[in-house]
Amino acid sequence: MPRLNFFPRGSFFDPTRMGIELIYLLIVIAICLFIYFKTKDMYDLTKHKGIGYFRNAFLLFASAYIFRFAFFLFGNVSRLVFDFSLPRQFMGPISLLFIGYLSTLAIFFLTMSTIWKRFKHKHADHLLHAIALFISLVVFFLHSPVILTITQFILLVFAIVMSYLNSKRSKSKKHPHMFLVYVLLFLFWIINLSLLGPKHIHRVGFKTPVYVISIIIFVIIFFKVKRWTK
Amino acid sequence: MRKKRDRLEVIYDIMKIVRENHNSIKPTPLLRYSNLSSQSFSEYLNELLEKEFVKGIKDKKGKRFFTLTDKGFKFLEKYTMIQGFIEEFEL
Repeated sequence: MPRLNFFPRGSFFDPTRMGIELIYLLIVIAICLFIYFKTKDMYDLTKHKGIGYFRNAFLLFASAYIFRFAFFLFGNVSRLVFDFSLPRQFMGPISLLFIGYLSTLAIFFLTMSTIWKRFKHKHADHLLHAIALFISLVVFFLHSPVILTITQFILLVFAIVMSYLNSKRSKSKKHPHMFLVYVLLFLFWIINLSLLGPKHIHRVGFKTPVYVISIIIFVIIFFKVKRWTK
Repeated sequence: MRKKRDRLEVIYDIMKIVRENHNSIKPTPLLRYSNLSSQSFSEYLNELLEKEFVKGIKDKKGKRFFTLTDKGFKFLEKYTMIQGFIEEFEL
């Protein structure tokens, strides 16, 4: 049986790339965790479902970004570090399993945070977990970040339609820009995912603007949260 | 026509009534001022007691009063921020 060539050939340790990935990861995680912990008090006081979904979405995003970094790590430096102790060809797909599950759930939860009042179902959360698990298992067994990217793109369209219908029904024109911020957040997560795919789009010239824009989106949300959680 | 209050607004209104009555009010006037049916009122009141936002106390004559707890005062203080946050993120 041919050995699985999960990671492309020639992916050697590059300190610049590693530094960029690490800084990007730390910034995103710091912002996500800030949002999660800053809204804890608010959630504990109110047990408001929307706040619950919102903060959990960012905790899930933080976790998904950690596994995204792990996926990058196993594909780039694991040859130097892990070859003797870990079956490297399995670590990538396992990271991908977690990325798929956590990020799909994060997208679901952030969408639910805005539509939960119109989508009250006893087993809604179980259903979301089941769909996220199903998607991640498919991606795990097919060993393909591309399938995850496509699936999440379909989810993005679903999230846009649901949020649009919700904002139209609520007739609230107070904060229509949040809809746009969420769409950009999902979109740039998906672009982040696509960067795990084929090697030809791994160029730093393409990655860096994606990372910068992703950070800007997170920073916008960070400041909006900070404003209300002093 | 005034729009229907959401859950959080009702909770805030009830607690505000308690605070505005020198942090001590009997159940009947609280029901009257809160503008709720008796069934909804007892549901909300139970929730407030469960969350420890208010507590029931009895005076020497055995009459029952409701007062805000520290947690209740904290909620009232933070309510504007919480409501602003909910509106900002359309939660």
